[in-house]
Amino acid sequence: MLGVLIGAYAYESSARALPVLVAWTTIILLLLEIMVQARTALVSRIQSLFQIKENDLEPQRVPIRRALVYAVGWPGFLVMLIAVIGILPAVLMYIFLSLKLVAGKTVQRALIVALAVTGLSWLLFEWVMSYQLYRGMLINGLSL
Amino acid sequence: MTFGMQPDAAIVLVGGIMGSVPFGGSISAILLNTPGVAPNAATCFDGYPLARKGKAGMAIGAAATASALGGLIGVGVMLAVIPIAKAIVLLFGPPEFFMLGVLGLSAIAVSTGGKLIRGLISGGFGLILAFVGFDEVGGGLRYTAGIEYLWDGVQLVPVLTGLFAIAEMINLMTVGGRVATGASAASLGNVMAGVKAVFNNVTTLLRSSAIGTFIGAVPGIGGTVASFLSYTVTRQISKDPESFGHGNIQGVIASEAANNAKDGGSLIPTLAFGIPGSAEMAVFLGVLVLHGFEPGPRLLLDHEDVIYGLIMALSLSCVFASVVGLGLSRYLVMVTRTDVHYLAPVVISIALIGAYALRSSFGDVVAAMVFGVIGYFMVRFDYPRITLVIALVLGGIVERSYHQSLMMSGGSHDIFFTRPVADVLLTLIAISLALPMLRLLTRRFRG
Repeated sequence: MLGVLIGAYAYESSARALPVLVAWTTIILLLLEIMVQARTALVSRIQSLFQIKENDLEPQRVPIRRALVYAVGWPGFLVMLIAVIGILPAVLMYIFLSLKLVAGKTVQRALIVALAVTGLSWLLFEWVMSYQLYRGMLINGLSL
Repeated sequence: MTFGMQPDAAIVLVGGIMGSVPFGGSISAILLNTPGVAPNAATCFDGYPLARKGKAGMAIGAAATASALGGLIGVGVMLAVIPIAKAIVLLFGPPEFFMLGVLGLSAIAVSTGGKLIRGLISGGFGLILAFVGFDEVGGGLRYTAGIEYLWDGVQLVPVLTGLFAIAEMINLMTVGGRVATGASAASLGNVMAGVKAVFNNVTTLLRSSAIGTFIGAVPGIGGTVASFLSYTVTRQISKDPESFGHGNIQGVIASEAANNAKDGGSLIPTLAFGIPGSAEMAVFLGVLVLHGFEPGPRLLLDHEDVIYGLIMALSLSCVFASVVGLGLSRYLVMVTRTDVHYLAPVVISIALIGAYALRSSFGDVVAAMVFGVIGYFMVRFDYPRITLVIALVLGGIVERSYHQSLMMSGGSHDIFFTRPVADVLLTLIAISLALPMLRLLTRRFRG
């Protein structure tokens, strides 16, 4: 948010008016949130004023390393596959590997599900709608 | 798709799609906490908690019924109001659009249910995302960091796909298990309970349909504001507001009725002025041009049969989509009982295909995945994602209207306080922000 604020001053006054306002407001709110987390007496009064409730969800005890693998590593692998070999082959490979390596399913079951999803996607997009899905860098070259 | 069709068939196809998409989007909102389109995001609030409790059938039944009835009410109101529609629509200028946008943003403050500061922080980030790209007022580029993909701004579909579909699946993958944690009753009785709930909450249905029709009649605001406003109003006047966000069926009814009613409302400026009331209406006008019709105020006079064909298609498709949804609900609910190890990779793959299909851009795939990661950490650290989406949708409208208003007034901010409709909207904003605090003070006073 500080970067947004600093960057805003490089623009014309009309272009930076609302971004500056929003950035300052969000920075103040972030500071307020940090104070809330610090749990001071002042914070208790703020909480009651804004009717802030304690998080009533059960806290997730998922280790951060596992979370990072699932949140960043594995989906990132799919994007990389799509970039290189295209959507349909990437989907086939991703679903097969997810079911086989991550979920521990049998090879046959993983292959059936992967082929079914890929086949349906091909049928719907490329055959019914005549819409060409991304072919990947190996065929098309990379362009956003 | 309509290029080779007869005009009447094309109109019916477009009307059918417009009428059925809102309800279709609620299915994924209920089952996977992933709105099919942005206006369905409000359905996630209570639809997904119901699915987690094993009451997905009830939620789908209520959504189907509210969608059908809301759509019919919206069309009915539109037909009744069309003779005086011009006068109503002309009351809204840039200051009123600005106030409507702020009213929609104020819904963020009251829709977060006890996470006000975090909701506002998410909303702030959403507004900053809305400012990325080409500045319509100043004419330059902002916050693109030299990336050509960002010149058109942050696209809504990849953001929605990532924040909800992908993030939800990542979250489920880390936790494991299934969507439904309770015993799932996918019986007809469960679905009919949802249908009955709509008739037991007729006031909510009618009020939400009215809000949806009114908001839909204002060009450019869209269904997101309609469904969120309706949800927020229903929650605020409820005797049990704390239950909202935890599986209150009224929340599903309010958002879905408004979401479908807005289609009827958006026909008002479209037919009265030839100005599309929503993105869907803009597509409809494009179809008309393709088939040789001229959009404009005389459209209703010169091509009455076409317009009434659209209205019939819109109305019938609302009902048919709901009937189909009710019929398939027993099978749809099985998604909540599917092992997440099957569900997650399939949903993530299909979500990324959908993100690519929007503009044939690999950048949208990357954007969807980036927001998927962001969305996962927002879930992990309990920051509302929906407020970010609301702010992203409304940020552009608010900024554009703000600057247009200042241009009209020569730089004076008095324009926001000296117009009757703007004053009414300002009052509504104040009420919507003050009401939760007033209720808290009243409750404390009563002991």
